[in-house]
Amino acid sequence: MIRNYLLVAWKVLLRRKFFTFISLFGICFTLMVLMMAIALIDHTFAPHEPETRLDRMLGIYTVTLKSPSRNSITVSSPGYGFLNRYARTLPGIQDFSICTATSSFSMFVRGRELTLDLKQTDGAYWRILDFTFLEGRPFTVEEDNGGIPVAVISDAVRRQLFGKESALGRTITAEGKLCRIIGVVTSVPILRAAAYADVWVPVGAFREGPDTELTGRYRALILAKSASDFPRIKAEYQARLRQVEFPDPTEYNLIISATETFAEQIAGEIVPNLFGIEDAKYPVNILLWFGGLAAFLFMLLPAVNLVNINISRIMERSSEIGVRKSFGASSRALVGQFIVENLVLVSIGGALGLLMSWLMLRWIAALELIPHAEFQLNYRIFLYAFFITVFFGVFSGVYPAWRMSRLHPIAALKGGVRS
Amino acid sequence: MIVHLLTLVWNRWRSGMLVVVEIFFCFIVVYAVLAAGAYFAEQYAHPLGFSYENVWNISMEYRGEYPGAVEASERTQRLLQAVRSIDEAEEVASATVVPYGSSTYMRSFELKGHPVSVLSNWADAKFDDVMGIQPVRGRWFEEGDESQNWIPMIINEHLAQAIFGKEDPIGKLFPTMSEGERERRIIGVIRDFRSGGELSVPDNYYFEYAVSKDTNAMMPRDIVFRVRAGTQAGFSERLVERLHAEYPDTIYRIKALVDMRKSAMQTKLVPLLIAGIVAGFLLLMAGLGLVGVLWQNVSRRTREIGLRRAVGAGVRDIYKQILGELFVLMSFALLVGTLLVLQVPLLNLISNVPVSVYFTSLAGALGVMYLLALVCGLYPAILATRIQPTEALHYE
Repeated sequence: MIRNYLLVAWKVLLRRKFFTFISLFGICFTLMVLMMAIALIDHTFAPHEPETRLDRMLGIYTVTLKSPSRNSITVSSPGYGFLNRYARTLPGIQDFSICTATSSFSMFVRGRELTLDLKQTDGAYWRILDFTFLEGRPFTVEEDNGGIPVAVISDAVRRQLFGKESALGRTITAEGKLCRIIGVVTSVPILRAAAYADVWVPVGAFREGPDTELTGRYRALILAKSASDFPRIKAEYQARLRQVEFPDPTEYNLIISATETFAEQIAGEIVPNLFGIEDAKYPVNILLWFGGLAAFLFMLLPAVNLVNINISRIMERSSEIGVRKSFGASSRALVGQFIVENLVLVSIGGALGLLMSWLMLRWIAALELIPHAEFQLNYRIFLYAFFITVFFGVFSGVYPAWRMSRLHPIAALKGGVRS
Repeated sequence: MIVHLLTLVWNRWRSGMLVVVEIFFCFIVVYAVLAAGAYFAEQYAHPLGFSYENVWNISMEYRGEYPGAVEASERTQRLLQAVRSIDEAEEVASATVVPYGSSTYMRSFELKGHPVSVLSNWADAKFDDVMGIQPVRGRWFEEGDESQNWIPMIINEHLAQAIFGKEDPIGKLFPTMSEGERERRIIGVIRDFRSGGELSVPDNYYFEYAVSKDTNAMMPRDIVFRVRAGTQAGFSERLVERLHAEYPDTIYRIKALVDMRKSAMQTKLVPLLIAGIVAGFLLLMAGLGLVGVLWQNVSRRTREIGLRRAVGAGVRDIYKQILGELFVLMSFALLVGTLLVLQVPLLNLISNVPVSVYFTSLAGALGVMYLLALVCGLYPAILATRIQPTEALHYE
């Protein structure tokens, strides 16, 4: 029976090639656009090397200070001393690292200016993140504490500075300080916020200013033992914020901060700007709902298009349906047949769309729009593609099938259908 | 004629309804992309107020504690001198905010009980020469202006209009921005200085004289200099070394304003370009779908059309019928769409967008959709005219 349906479906697809082309084009293109968006989001938010433990990572990115009258507000990165004193000893964490955001510096290589991004990190950083070392090693906690000027560079920097030669033992001048290179890692794309830099140096060798300041230019990376410890860590951090000693309580006497996952941090930045919602409790959910709604609206146009084409197809076949109905085919059998036909069409479109998104992603990676980024189709993306295809199949098949089953056999046989 | 077309469409509303839905969504997409494009085009049309060719920028990042006003202004002078000493630099000036840079300063004051925000900048006496700024009234800062007991100030036309209306602002006092500050007096009016670049929203803007006898002189942040036309980029290494020798505790970044402009433009235009491409494909998809539906429609109505031909309807009449029906459907969908998108300016959902943007993009989107209808309807209409009366008579 199913074999028969499939055979008929194939014949129908071949009969009106123009309609088949329109349907396939629509499915293919929609799937491709959505796949690109999903691949980009997946590439940004899902665990990828070197952030393989992203699901267990939290960060402290900002502190907000408020004056006693609440009129004066400062938003800044946390200070080193603050993080050390109030966050390092949070319970339930496996590892704790203090680093800076990247800052760019330029150097000249054979008369050409080279702008590189520098990140100051500590020894624990290399345990939290999972870098692939091409040569050498990361710097240790002891080297960081001792303030020894060493550096880890990326593969791309090694290529630009030393060509194909080994970089170990060579030096690089970062922010006016001569550092000995002790390791080379695989280049990291800019979208990996915690890991990205071109040159990594020990925070101990570059740290300046007093230790007591609440604000500074640092951030903390926290590796929890498991994601189920997140609520406990967050609650404890909030409890400690209430005990913070202020250097000058008449200037600022309230501190607001949070331990956030990477997605929470990004959503916390986007949501107030995009929707004007301040202090949303679940910014990630708002963003997900918005993204889902946008994707749904985007799919609506191709889906309606597909419904239109499908109805046209059915009306054209009204005499066939009339014959089948007169010989006793039930409405259910007809609906079943049509839905199978539609699923065949949609699956072909889905497969083509997936193939095209794969080619497009390869092409985009080759263009190097985002340096070192490798967009790959993984099982997660494949799963999304499957859901989108099923959405299309069901959404575009049900209404035409219902219309089909309601055709009156006599009218259908005459070919004159009121619509 | 129109009533007749409406009746024809109404009798077959079921097949028409889905087409209407499709056209409606398509219209919304086209409108959104055109509105974004029109918005940028509107900004682009405003005068920039400066020229960026052959101008280079040195941004300076100082790592340390504030050394005090005397030291800060001495630094500025020595660094300016260092830049002047290289052959390529013709005019050298300093400012706090440079075009296409990432920083802006915003202050606000009260005007007739309403807060007015204004972008602010601090520049020296040479800044107009480097950036090619021409005051439309009054003059630019001059050396010696710091000896006044008020702060000299230059405002743009937008701000002059906002505060003084049609009156001449030269010599007038600027409204107080915070208690206890020295008073500011306007010495010149410039056309504009859109430091955000061509795609930024024209806004209130003022310059204060950067050289002052105030105790709060700022650390030098940016130096701009004009080079002779055709100068190659080779000098930047030499210049950085020269500046580094002067003050090694600062990080210097040298960039041509042309390059800064390019990357600023790209970050704004690339998303629009992507949206445009996607919208174009959606339009193509909807168009193909429309052709399919109409084609099938025509082939199903062979008898009707054949009969009309048999009783003497000409080719033109058939065209009129097929295209006319499509236009009725189209107009219905576009009417609903227009009513919906008009809510955006009416309810003021997005602030800071000139009304003209909404109407040009609305007209553009309507035009695109009707053109789409014409193109998509043409082939099915030609098919319809080829129907022979004899074909129709086969049926009965």
